[in-house]
Amino acid sequence: MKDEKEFSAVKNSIQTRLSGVMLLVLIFALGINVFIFAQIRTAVGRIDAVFSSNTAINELSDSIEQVESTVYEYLNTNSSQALENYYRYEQNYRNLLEDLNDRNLDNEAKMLEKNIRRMSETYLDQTNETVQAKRGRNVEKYKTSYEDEHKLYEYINSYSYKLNNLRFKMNSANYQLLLSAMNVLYKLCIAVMLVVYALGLVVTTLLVRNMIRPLTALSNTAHEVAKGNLNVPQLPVVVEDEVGIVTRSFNQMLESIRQNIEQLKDSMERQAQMKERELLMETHLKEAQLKYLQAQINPHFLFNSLNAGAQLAMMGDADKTGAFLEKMADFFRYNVRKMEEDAMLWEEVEAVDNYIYILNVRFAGDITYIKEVDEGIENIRIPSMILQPLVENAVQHGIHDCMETGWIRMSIHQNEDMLDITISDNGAGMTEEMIAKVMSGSASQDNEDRFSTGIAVRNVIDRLQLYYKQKEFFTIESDGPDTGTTVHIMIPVEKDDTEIPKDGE
Amino acid sequence: METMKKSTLTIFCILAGCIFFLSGIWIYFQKNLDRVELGEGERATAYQRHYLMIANDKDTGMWQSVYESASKEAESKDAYVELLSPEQMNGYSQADCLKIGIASKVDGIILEADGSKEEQHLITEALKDGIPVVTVMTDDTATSRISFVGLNSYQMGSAYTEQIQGMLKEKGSTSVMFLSTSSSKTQETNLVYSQVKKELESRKKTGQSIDLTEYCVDSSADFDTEEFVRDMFVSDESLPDVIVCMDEVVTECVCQALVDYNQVGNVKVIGYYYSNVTLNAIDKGIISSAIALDMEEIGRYSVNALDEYISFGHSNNYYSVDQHVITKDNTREYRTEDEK
Repeated sequence: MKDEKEFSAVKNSIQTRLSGVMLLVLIFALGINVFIFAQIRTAVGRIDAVFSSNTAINELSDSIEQVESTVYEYLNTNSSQALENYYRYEQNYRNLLEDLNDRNLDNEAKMLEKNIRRMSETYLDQTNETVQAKRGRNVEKYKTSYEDEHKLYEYINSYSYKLNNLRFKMNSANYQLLLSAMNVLYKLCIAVMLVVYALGLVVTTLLVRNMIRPLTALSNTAHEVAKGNLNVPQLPVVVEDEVGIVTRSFNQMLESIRQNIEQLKDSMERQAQMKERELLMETHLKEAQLKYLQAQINPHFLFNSLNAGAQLAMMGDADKTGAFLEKMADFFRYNVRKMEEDAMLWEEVEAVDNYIYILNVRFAGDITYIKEVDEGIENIRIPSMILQPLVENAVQHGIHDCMETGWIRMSIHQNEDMLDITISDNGAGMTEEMIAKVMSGSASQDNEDRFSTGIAVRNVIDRLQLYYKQKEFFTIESDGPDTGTTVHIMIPVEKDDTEIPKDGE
Repeated sequence: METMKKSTLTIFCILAGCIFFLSGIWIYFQKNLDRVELGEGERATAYQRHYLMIANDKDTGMWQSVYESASKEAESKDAYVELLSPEQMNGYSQADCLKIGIASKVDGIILEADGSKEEQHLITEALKDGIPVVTVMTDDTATSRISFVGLNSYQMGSAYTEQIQGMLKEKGSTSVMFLSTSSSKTQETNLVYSQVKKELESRKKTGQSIDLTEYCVDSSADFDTEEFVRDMFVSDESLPDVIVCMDEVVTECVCQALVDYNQVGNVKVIGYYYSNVTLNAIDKGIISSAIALDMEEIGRYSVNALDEYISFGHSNNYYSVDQHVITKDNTREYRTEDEK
């Protein structure tokens, strides 16, 4: 049902158009044939009519002969049969005379007709007179009357002959004329037929070619597509017929194939990127982990810290020693545990606090540490092990040589939906070159340092980049040597209640 | 859409071409068919009256002229003139033609009387039937013909005399022969002959004598005229100095004989009527002049006479027509348009 509907919905269906063309050609040919036959019919009718005038005169001659012979028979035999015949033939002849011309016309044949008619009337009067005389037994009269009447009969005959001759001459000329016209007509008809059929063929071919052309274009394009070339131009829809519909559908199909391929390509690319990132992340994590594991077994940091604890114990301050060891334990536990997971901001801050505490115990409260953290932002999620390595960096490279006067400031503010983290010191400072080196990751790091937990700044940068998929959020500022260094991080806020977008989801 | 328009245009052009071509054929064919006149006389003019002209020899230029002018005149009088000649009807006489006319109940008859009893009787009968008869060129006063249109024998005689006079020898006898045929020899020619004779006698100069003879060739049998003229030229002695032809055919025969027997200049000839042969002969100097009746007037007057009679019940008894003297100076006037 649906198919049928669609079928009839085609505006100029090929079937209709083809039938139309064929019908047109056929009607045209038929019309011309009818025209030609009508002409031939007319001509034949004319030829027929041409000699009919001769036939009429012959009829007239036959009729008068019958009258004359019956008159003679009656005079000869006086038979009533002959008399009866005479009256019948006379009437017959009179009837025929009615058709003859009785006017004075400027035409020889017509005047001959008129003369024949008038003479015949005189003749019939004369025969009547003769017959009456015979019936009245007036021998003398009917004999002379018959003579006169016979003379008239001869005159009429010779006039009929003359008229017949004249007409035959005219008719022959007419016949010749018609015949030559027919001849020309015959040749013209053949020519017309040939021309019409040739034209029909041309028209049909032209129209069919017009119909087929889009189909050919379609098949060529389809072939092209089949070979794998999807970059073919859109086919124009010439006529809204079946081919038009197929063309339109083909165009749509091609378009959607192209889109699909594009999408597929896109998603594949994305997947590849994701995979790459994942791999990178993994690599970095692994690296961090390794470094961290190395750090865990960094004997200097551990030994120095333990030494500091031992010194505390030896001084007999059991409470302080206990607190120190507890912070130390917390610090190391966090390090070990948090590497692969996200951390809360407070955990990160606590790790920094612990680290500073440990260092302060070791250096007997030498490091000035200023902490400015906004309230209510403790539960923001950030990648783990970000702040501590940076603070460690500030201690190690910034204020290492001026522990007494140096300070470290860590401020964390929420600026709308961005988290603004600044870690600054007033230590050694950095040259432009050094900053560039650190940013590009080519600065060497001394893992053997006794304050280092082992995680490089570069590693922090890389992880942040991977985590947030953006680059311009980490800056190092310094006005030069001995002017201090400021590390600035701007990261988007991710609250605890929102799910952490892993792998860039 | 473009192609659709193009193909539509193509089809339209083809159709237009075909229709143009077919109409051409149709017009050609119809024209051809129209040339075939089936309804004869359909477009012919109708006339009120029908006159019959009986001509002895309808093919001569003379009768043709008479018929043409009669026809022309008749047309203006709403009448049709039919020309009938006995020779055209196999073995029929002039009387037969007259009978045919009466039986055909024509409105009037024009004929050259032959003076026969039968004809006289028939003319009377015709009038009885209400058919007026006009005689032309030759009269028959014994009949009840309504009118006669013909020459004035006195004037005609004078014209002939004038021509003959110029051909007479200064001294001595000149033989003049009047040559006519039995069909052209009529009462009128007799009168002309006697008029010429009378006038020549009175006008001849002293020392001049004229030997006037008259000969009538019996033309009842075919071709006798030519045979007679030939015989006359073969036997030199009987050849006159002047031949006066009273007939169109005789004139043409004499012209030919003059050339054939090398007698141009020896025999002077006065011809009759202006046929082409005669006009050429005059131009070449073979014959010096010709006398002719005004045939145009004959035709016109005869139709007028009939018309008058039918319309008013009477007409002139006699219509006199002029004669023309044709000489080298005025042959051009008698030639038909295309000969000029």
